[in-house]
Amino acid sequence: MDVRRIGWRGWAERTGTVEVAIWVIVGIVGLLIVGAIVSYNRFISQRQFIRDSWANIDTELRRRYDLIPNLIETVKGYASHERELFEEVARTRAAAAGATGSPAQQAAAEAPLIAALGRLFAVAEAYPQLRANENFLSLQTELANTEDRLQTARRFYNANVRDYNRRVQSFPSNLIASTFKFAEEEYFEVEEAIREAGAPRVSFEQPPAPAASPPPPAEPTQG
Amino acid sequence: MDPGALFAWLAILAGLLVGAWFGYYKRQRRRNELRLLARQLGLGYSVWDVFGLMTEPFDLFFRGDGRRFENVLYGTWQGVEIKEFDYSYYEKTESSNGGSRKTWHHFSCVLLETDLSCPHLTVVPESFWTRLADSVGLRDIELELEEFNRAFTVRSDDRRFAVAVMDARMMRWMLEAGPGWSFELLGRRILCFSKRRKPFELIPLLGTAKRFHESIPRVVRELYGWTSAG
Repeated sequence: MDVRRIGWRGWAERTGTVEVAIWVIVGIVGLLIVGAIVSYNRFISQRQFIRDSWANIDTELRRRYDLIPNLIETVKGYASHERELFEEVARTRAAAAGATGSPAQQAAAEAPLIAALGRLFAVAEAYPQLRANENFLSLQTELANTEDRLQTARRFYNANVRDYNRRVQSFPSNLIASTFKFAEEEYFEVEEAIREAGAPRVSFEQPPAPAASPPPPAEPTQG
Repeated sequence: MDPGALFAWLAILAGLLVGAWFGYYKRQRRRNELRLLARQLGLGYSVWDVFGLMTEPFDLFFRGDGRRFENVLYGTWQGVEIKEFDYSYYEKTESSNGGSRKTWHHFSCVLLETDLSCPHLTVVPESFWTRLADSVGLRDIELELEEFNRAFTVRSDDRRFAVAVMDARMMRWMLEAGPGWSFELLGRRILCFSKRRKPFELIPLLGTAKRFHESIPRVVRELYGWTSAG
């Protein structure tokens, strides 16, 4: 076939190249649309994962708030003169339980409570009879378990946020994110607050029998 | 027959016999050394798989063909029930001239029992292919320690389980232990494996498996039905 004689257009028409090109373009556009739908749906499910994992954190936080009044009552029975500390724990608990804002706001509300609980356990260290109290020991264990579960829930939440935020930032999923307004999510970071305030210190050591002289301070383990 | 050709055939035959003898000798020597090691560690020894290890549903045991389980050491080591064994399989590749070539892969494995009810989890060192997959966005489970993410690939049916098991302490320990170890958890079993090790190098493998088992955070026992400490 002489291209010079019939021209490129004529050549393309005769060989069916135009049809092929149209089908290739339709195929590419189809693939792009399917890719966009998949990416959009993945954003939706990731956002749902983040909400679900935040709900897990919330459940564990509520469990911790529920344990605190009992803890205060138990400690009060042995160290009634620490009224200011009890009030502080109760106040910070109420503030943390009432916080319904973003993860950052929740973390900010948790920090004073964690600090107050740290001080409460430090006070408890000075009362061997309190440390031998079964109710106190059981609350300590429950609180330590709740702290563990809370930490796991927090790490899972942050892992979901990390994956989601990475997709919001990276190409080509950032095109879908900006088109459909998928904004970056906040991490739930309480490490800094805990470091500053001191986490609740929970000891699993058996308390020594009450003695005339005060016992040596036990090495506390973090729960 | 031409004496030259006869000589060549004899030489080939002799070569094959020497090769076969050398293979047999090496295998026997490994068996003897492992038998001795088992005795020293107070473990039982079996040349063949008498525990049905090939029915264990780990990913590692579904790779390639010609899977072979042998040299099983079993019993209680430092308070932990273990089964240590050699595992190998081959992969067949077709060559351009129509022939095929077998590439054998050999591993040393330790299997531990646990009361944990584990969703499937694998933690293996990063390879060229996993890095390539990462770079095009097909990422594995990413954890908060970037150094760990660069060194290991974590995959699981249950992301929450993976995140719970691989806490900061576990990740730091695995980085210190180095990249030679792989782990697979499924149901009530933990599999720790590495490239085939010499008999005297098996104690670090046992120690690594035990340490991994002990390093699983307490909270995992609570969340995933661990009813007694490991």
